[in-house]
Amino acid sequence: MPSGRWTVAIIATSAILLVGVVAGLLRLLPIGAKDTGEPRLVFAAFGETSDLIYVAPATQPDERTVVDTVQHAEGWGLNPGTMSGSRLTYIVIPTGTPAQRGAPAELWLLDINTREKTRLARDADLLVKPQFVAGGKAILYRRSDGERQEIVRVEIDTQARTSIYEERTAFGIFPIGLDASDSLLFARLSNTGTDVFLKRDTTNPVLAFHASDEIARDWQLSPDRRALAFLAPVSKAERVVYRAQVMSLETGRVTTLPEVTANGEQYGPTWTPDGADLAVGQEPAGQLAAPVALLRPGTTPTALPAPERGFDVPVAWSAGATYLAARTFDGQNSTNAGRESAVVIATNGKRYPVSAPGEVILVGWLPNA
Amino acid sequence: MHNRTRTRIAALLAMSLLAVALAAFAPDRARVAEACAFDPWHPHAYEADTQRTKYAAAIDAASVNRLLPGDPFFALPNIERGARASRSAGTPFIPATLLKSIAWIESSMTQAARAVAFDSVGPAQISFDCGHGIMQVTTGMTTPLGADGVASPRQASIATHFAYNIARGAQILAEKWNAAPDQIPVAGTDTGSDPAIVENWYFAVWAYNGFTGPGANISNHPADPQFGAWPRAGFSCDGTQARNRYPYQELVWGCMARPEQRNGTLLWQPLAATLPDLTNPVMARALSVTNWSYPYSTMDIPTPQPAHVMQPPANIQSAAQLLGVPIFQTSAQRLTINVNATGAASKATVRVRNAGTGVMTWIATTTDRFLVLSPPAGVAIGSDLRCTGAEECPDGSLVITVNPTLLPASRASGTIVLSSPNGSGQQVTIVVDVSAEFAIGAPGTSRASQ
Repeated sequence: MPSGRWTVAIIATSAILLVGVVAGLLRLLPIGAKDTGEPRLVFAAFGETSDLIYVAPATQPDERTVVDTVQHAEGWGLNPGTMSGSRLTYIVIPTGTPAQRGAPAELWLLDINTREKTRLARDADLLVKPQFVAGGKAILYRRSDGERQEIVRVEIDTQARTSIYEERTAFGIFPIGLDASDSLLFARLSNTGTDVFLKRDTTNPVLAFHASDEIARDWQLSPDRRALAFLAPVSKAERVVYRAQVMSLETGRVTTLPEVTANGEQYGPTWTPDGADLAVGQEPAGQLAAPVALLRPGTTPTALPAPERGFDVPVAWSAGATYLAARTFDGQNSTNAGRESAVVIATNGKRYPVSAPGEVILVGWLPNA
Repeated sequence: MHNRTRTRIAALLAMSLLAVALAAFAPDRARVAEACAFDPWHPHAYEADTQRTKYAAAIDAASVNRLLPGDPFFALPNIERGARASRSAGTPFIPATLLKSIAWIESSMTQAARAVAFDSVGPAQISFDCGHGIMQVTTGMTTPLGADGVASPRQASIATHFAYNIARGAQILAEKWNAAPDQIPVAGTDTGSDPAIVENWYFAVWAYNGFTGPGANISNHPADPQFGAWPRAGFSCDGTQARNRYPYQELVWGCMARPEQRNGTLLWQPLAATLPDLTNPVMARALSVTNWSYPYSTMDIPTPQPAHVMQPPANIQSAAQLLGVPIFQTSAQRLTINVNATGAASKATVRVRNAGTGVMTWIATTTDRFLVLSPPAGVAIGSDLRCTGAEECPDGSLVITVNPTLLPASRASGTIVLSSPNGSGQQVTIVVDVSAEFAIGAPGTSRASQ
């Protein structure tokens, strides 16, 4: 080969190698690191046969980066659990599986930064959200076989799975997380309502408290894992409305929250990252719109910027509690919710819509870059 | 090596290859429950127009028992009404929009598998739990119910013919309605449980998918915390929302109110039916988890308001228009299949013709196990319907192959009975002569000793 051609070949090869190395390095960099350094929202956009997972800066949800495409059975989207650092876990009915809710679903772990995906189980219940526990080292999920339901713990490093509680029931059991003493916390429905149980190691579960004579929901363990917030139905002004409650797991007593909209519904209790406040959405109750209220025992509630019309349902706070990802409705309440969309609410007073052609599934936040 | 030995080895090889080939062409068993009526084969069905006009017309007729009114198996039964203690039978009636919405939720209102084009014929739609066709009929489709352990003509009709499938689906929904008050609660305690009020179908629609309680893996209880993300906006049928968050009856309600469209036209007139208001203490009390106990007699609810009274559809097509007058004909009554020693699977094809109109279901059965019939049931399309597929339009095709491992001898004859549940004409017996170019040993004997 003439020396000129050798030179061209060497330059071309070097260029290809350089591109490869740079691409590899970029892949390892945190998604959105080129952005403003502000918290980055993780969300998914539902599609009939696949969902797209995005990351976007809090104040620029349209400046989104696709992180992953999740193929799924037609009509059934991914069900995300909590986030732990840059990792998220979700459950999905895979493509090629019968498009039915009862079909065994897959539990996945996705690292947003590296885009590494790991399938951890193929026997999960689609609708029961998986939960990170043990500082992100393990995940709890539920699986079912007829009336037998099991709460399973899967270790992320080894992928070892352990059934940590099982029972036969015509109702349901729901994993909540591990409390401050690392005991399993789960809710159980029955004809007597909703009970919360604690189970430590191999001992039988013990009743932590009776949450409601009816169906309680939306369990939120406080960041220090010493209190549990949830919604329970109560009778108010001749209506049955879901209201936020907080139970101390140490004293077994209800923590009294400051009253807002005395008779209205409350939605989506969500702890601030420091655990000081509980954000709850509120029914407008005679007003055109209602803001998310921040409830702290013993203090006057504060409010986030309200929608023009309707109400918000908190989903997840960014680190430092500067932004709240929320679902927002232009209707009046749970009976007449109106249209639903997603929004980032900044504590400084601004709201940033998160839009997509299909339903937006809010997942959580990445740690600050 | 002797020629005879070579022939034997070739024959064994051929049989092995054919067995592998038959296994390879069998339907994906993983997708189908082990015991569906036609397992492991798929019957073939006709898929009508993309606008679903034929199906919608059939649903309109089925909703008032004018599709198959005299049929002892497919007619819509009387619909009971009245208070829990004094139910009485009334005229057969189901709100047509409700049936259309269920058809959409179940199958996107399609009779054949997704890969089958509209206005053509192909494998029927069968789900993993044996749901068949437009209405995903499962009841009576999980085991073969015909003679000799094969599917029955009724099962063939449900699997292949849109009208019979719709009629059976409507009938099942009516059975769910009539299961009140003995097995499910009554909706409409204040309106005489009038079936013309679409809101009164709440529990029957819930039961169509499974009257399952809160927390179960396939729960349809509206207060079930599994449907995360509470509250929820109404479901829309346009494919922009995941089904995860909705109990079955809310999918149906949402689809009634926000139907899908094709070519810019809504598939039905929107109907914004009302769901039970769970903030209403009467509804909340009825649907309380404390009442979730068979036979659910404390779960009766008044009609959710505002209520919507449905009239029978206008301009219902006659059964003759929808079903046509199919006439059954076949192309052959005696066939020969040669099975050679090279491993190539010889086969024969029988054309099944509809000399009349409408969709004609046919079913083929045999007691000779070495004859493999594919599909075991299918359709032939009449001259009044559009059918554009190359393979099976308008005539149906029955492909007969031989499983050499089951041949009793090198020369064997078997019979196939072809018939049509809805086409006029006699059943036809087809004789199949099989000639294998290799020796077949008697079972249990060693060829090495021959």
